[in-house]
Order: sequence, then structure tokens, then C-alpha cells
Amino acid sequence: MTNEHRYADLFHAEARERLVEMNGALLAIERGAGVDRVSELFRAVHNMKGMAAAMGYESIRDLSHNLEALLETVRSSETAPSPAMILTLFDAVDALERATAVQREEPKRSIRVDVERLDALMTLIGELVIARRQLTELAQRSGQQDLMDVMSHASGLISSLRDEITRSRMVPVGQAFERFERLVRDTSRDVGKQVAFELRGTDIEVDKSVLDEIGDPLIHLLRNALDHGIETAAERRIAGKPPVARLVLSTSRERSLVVIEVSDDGRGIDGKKVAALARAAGLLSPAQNELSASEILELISRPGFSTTAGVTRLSGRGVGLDVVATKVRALGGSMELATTPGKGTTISIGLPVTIAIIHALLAKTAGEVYALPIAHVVETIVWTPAMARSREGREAISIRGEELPVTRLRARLGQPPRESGAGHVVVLDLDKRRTSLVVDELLGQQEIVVKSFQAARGMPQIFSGATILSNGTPALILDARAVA
Amino acid sequence: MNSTVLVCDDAVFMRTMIGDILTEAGLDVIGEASSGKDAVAKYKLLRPDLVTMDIIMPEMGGIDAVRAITEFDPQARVLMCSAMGQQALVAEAIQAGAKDFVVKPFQPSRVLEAVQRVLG
Repeated sequence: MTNEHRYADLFHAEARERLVEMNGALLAIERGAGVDRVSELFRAVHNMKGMAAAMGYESIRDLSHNLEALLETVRSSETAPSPAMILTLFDAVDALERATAVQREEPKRSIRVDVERLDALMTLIGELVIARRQLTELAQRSGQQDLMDVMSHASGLISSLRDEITRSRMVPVGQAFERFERLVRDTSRDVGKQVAFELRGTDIEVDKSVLDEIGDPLIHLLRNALDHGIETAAERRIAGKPPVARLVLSTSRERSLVVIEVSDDGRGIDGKKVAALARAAGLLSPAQNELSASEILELISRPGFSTTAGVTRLSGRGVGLDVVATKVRALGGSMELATTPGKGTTISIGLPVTIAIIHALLAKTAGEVYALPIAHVVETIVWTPAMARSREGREAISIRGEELPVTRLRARLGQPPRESGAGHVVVLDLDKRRTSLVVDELLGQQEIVVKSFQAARGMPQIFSGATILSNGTPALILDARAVA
Repeated sequence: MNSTVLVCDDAVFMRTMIGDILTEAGLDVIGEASSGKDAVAKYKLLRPDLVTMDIIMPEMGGIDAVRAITEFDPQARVLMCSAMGQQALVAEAIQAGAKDFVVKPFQPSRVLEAVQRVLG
């Protein structure tokens, strides 16, 4: 065959699309779709055969040919394919997928890049960004115009280089999420539940390593929803709900965050039951009965909590949520919970789009420097104690007629209030709510390299990472959602 | 002046492959279509000297497209691209107006022989 090397990339790109089409058509056929989807499946397999033949990939060609022959019998029989036939077709598509993967692993493929290489590039450019700031300061201090000009030019080049490297690591989430369709289908059959699964926002792009890391936590959340959140068809009928449950995995962009949500219309989480279990485990005082969604999430994300007998049934979300929470935090992300008993549950994960370098606001408080990702910062205002008002036992501030809750960073850090009482208010937009954080001093903005960070026991859980500032000192990165 | 070609196949891979063979042989690929419907519309718009047409496509198959194109322009020169074992369909396509056919997987020499036959 001619020109195998030239067309190999094109083959695999197209093969991937065809396989997605095949799985999609098969899933639809299984749900009762008509002859149109069978034709669609036939065409996809036919195309695969043609391409494989052109490339000389004989095993893929032969598999496709056999699958095509099988589909020909389905088409000519004019009756809907039997469940046994559908299972065989699924197995055949799986085999095709494996054969294609094997073909792709050939060493002569020269454009594949190890994620490690991209990680190395990212680390290097991160260090270069930090060095750039130091160089810029030195150049400006020197007062030499030609030096400052060259530095300005180099600075622009470094920004472009960072952008190119960042872009080279971006992949659409669909690449990792599409396989969840089969997973959800197989798992829902295993647990005997009827589920309609929907993927939204599969075109949204995310850093490759973020996507690699978030896969397992998402599978965890999907399994939880299928095992515990979603009721059986019989239970749903009794509850007056449609027998087929809805499970949605949606991805969207909000400024410099990627938000991934797992939503079901299942039984929801009963806060009162969670509170009761927490009280029994000594995690809550006997007086606490009402829990906010974030309090519920915090409790069910604790390792100890999920191993309590019977909690999986009651909480509606099962074991191991602590694993998800830890992984999300290590990626510099955050989680939120929204739930209504009887109606359903949505868990949202917010992740930075690019994992390594972010734009941050530096603030000093109680002698230490902290970094706040600019993504959430709306504005900053000078703070005087007179600005504080009391609202339902909390502090609040009024800005141009809008009332916002106030959190004092010193209090969150377990530090005493400032003697002078002076400071700055940072107004934060956390998508679903706006709030504010009082810090001692603002030190300006900086590009920082995010390093993952494990909080020591006993530390407040308000940090999403750590960084080294341009002057070489370390600083902790605040998790805006957790701190305010 | 080079002869112009409209390439019709629902796989990008196939369109690229046949397009490359034709371009290397000195023809001008002036358009691509990914369905029968698209093929007919593009033919009317571009009036190419030659059309290569895949038999199996969504939204109006290759044979119906050949018929529609030939009805629109009885002088149309369409070359069918079929997979092996589709003799019956090829025969049908020729009755609908196609001038010749090539079998996939494409061998450049065979493709060019067929193109020369069709273009005269």
C-alpha cells in the first residue's frame, strides 16, 4: 500500500471518530433506535474497513469486514437485533478498538509526545517566568535603556513560549470522558438500574495532566451515583419519578476555571441523617442539627466518616469521597455539593484550566504572604473597622449597595486580630456567590508556579497549593472557596 | 489548464488519499463533499470536469447522487469508488450515469488509468 506513514495520523484521528460513532449508534440501537442507526453503524464500520485496507492494516480490515458482514445480516433481517446480537456487536466494536490501539502503538509514530516531556517543558517555562521577574527588576534598577529594551523583548518571547507550551498540553475532555458512556452503561446493568447518561461540553479543553488525574475521581463519583444516589426503577415509580434516572456529566468554562459537574436525579442526601451519624461519631456537637451543603460535603469527605457502617445507604453518596476531595485539592481545585433529599444531587468540581502557572494577588497577613488566584478576585478596597456591620451573627460589608459577607483571614488562620484594625478587603466572585476577605496588606500581582501541597494535620483546610515567589520565599495559595 | 475534480466520500481519510493521488497526477481538486446531497449541490456550484463518488454515504447515497448529477448535466463524468464485493451496486451506479469505477483500496496507477478513460 502507498504512503502509509503520511496517512497514519489521519487514519487514527478518523478511526477514533468512527469508533465513537459506532459506540453511539450501538447504545442507541440498544435503547430501541431504528434502522437509521443500524445504517449509521454500518457506514462507520464500512469506512473503517476501507481505511484499514488502504493502510495495509490487515487485522483491522478483516475485523471490520466480518463486523460489516454481521451488520449486513441485521439489515436484511428487517427485525430489530436481538439482545444477544447486540452483545456480540458490542464485543466486536471493543475488539476493533483494541486492534486500532495496538496499531497506534507502533514505534514509527513520530508525533506522539510523552506527557513527561510536556511536564518538563512546563516546569522549565515556570522557572523561566520566575527568573523573568527577577531579570526585569534588575534591568529596571540598572537604568540602562538598551538592557531594559532587550529585557522587554525577551519578556514578550517568554510569554509567547508559555502560551505555546500551555496550548500544546490542552486536550478536549471528550477524549477521556467519552469512554464513560460504556462504563455507565455496563455499571448500570450490573446494579440493575435504568439510567440515561448525558455528556455535555466534551469540546472544552483542559491541560492533559489535569484530565489524566481527574478521570479516576470522576469514575468514583459516577459509580457512587449509580450505586447509591440513583434508585431502582421500582423505587422511583413509588416515589412518582420516571423509572429511567438521569445522570449528567457536564463540563464548562468559567473564567480561568473548568467546572465539571456530576448530577443525578436520585435520592439526594439527607442532611439530617448525615448530622445524626456525625453526632454519633462525635464529629458534631449534640446541638448541631441543620447542616449547610458545604458542611455536609465536608463531613462525607472525611475518611473516617465513610467507613461507618450503614452510612453509604443513608448518605446517598458512598465511600471514598475523601479520595476524590484529596485529588481535587492536590490539583488546585475545589468541590461543591448541592443536594435535595428525594430530588437529586450535584457535585461540582472546579479545576484550574492550566495546572502550573496562574496569575495571583499577593496579600500579607499576620507576617506571612499568601497568594489568591486572580480568577476569583473582583476588586480590592481599603478596609477600616467602621465598615463592618453585623448580619445574623456574621460580619458583613456594604459596597455600592451590595451586601457581602466578610471573612477575616487572620481569624481563618487562627491568628489574633490586628491591633491597628486596618487592612484591605478583597471582593471575591465564587460563581454562585460573592463574598469578601479581609487581609492586612496587598503586595501586588504576580504570575506564580503552582506546586501541589499537602496540608499538615491540624492546619486549616484553606490552601490549594504552594508557590515560590520571585524573591525566593515560599507562599501558600489560598483556596478562595474554602477560605471565604 | 488542468482538469478539475470534485471528490466525494464521507471519510476525510479517503478524500485526502484520493485527493493526493489526483493532485500528484496534475489534476486540480476544486472541491470535496461528504454526502450525496453535498455532492449534488457542489457539482451544480463548481461544474468540475470529473467527479469521484463513493457509493456508501449518508444523506443520499452515491448512486442517487450520480443519478441527480446526470439528470442535471448529462455530460457529467462520474467515477465511482467502491469497495470489493459491491459489483451489483457498481452496475447500478453505471446505469444511473457513472462512467467508470475504481475499487478500494486505491492503487494510484489504477485510479489514474480510470481517470484517463473517463476524461477521454
